[in-house]
Amino acid sequence: MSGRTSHQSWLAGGLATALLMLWFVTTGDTASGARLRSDPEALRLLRGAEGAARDTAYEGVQYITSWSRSGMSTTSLVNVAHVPGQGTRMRVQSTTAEQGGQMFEADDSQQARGGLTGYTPTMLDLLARNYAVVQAGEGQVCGRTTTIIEARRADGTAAGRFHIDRSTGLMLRRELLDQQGRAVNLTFFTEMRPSAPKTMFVAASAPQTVEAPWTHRLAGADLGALRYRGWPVQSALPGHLSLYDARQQDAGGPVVHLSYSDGLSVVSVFVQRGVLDPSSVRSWHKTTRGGRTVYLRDTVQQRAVWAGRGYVYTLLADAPPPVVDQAVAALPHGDTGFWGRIGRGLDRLTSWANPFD
Amino acid sequence: MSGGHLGERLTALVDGELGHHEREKAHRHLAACAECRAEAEALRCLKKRLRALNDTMPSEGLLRRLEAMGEPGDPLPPPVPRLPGQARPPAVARPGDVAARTRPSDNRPRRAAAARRRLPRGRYLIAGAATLAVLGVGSAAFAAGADPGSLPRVTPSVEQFAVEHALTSGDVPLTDPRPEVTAGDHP
Repeated sequence: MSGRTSHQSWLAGGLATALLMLWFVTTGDTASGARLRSDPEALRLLRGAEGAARDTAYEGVQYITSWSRSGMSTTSLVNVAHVPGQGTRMRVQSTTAEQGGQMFEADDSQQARGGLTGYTPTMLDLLARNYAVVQAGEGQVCGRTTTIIEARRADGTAAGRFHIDRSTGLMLRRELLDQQGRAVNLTFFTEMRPSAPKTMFVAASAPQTVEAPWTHRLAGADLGALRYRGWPVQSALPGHLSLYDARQQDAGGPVVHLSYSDGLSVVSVFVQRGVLDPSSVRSWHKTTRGGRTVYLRDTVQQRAVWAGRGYVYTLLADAPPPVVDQAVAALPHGDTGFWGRIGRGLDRLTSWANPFD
Repeated sequence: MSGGHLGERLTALVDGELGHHEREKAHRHLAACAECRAEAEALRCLKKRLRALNDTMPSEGLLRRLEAMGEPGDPLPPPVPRLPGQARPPAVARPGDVAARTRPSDNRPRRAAAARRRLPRGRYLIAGAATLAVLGVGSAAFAAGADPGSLPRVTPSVEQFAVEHALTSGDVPLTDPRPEVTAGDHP
């Protein structure tokens, strides 16, 4: 009798586990179920920073530094000027970067904004979902008084820190911190003047690159169609990174750009059909992750290139190295052979069964 | 163990029909109970003797008589009508089934015995279904994983991707410096 009960218990347990796994697979990110408590005023200040960055005329110098895994830092100085209704001109000075350059970004572009330009509702939602956003006192950036806002992990450590100018509402400093509290990425104004530049940009300045993101945005149905055709489009990556944007240069373009974020770290994955030309990554650091070959560079940002199951992946990330490693491990690897074909086939079968994930 | 002894479970133990857990319990009891141990020993001896009986060939005369009983054309014995509440009559033993006639009556709980008999068949069914499912999914995955043809060699346009990454994340696009970057301390 007890043997039969034990058998039934195993059966019930197995069924429950299978249902739970099915739920995980179909619902994806489970962190949303356990939202951390944020301070509404801190969220309001972050939301307001985006509006201030659009509506305020300012010019200044930004200092951008990122640290690699080995502790090497790379710094860039950027002259920034913004005219409301027109756009932002960014001129990168040559410092430790190989070369400078300039770029003009129009105010009417619809892309998600980050860096010191504040938070869009989407990014703010991701931030509030994954971190506790709270006020953390008062600070000073380039002689201006700021309110400090921290994004804290569940264990209470700070993962991001922002300084919001009390007089203009602009974000003046942004820090991305790793689990040990070390800065991974730091952007701040060394000078900032809230006054309109004297000249209109486009008419008066020298030829400059007007940049806009790729125009063909991929909606849910497009992503479903890509998955159906075997493209590896994941709706989430480990570390609570959610897919918040997907684009192609034009409809049917050869590259799919998938943007993932947890509200702080941003990971871009560029996927192309084909096999990797080894000569294109000759100067990269070749390494092995879980028996798979990955080419890495981590200077200005974390970069990784690898090939797997008929696709080439290029990953660019403003994120702590462990987050990048997890993302790389979660994306398909392995190439030819029997098991490669089985893996590719299973991916396709899964996408046919559930093209929305 | 009802009444402090193994009782009817002793027969099941000797017949090897107890589940793992029950068998462990019974062995633990036997280690401590001399009375049950002696009874178990007696049952084992009896079983051994019955098995020996089963191995002996029946005499030629007996075989002939048995064959004559199964001749075609003989009328079937009339069905015995059952009175309300009367138990089903015992099944007629097949010729040669000596053990069935000599085995002591099974007074163990009927449902538990039936479950024990069903279990191996259920296991085989589950194992068979699982094997079929794995083979089916594997074949489907193998067919679906076929490559459409030769693949192009790709050189990722990393600098172009960096600009696109910066534009969608709102950061300033920076070119990748040469390896000779300065060493800096964390602030």
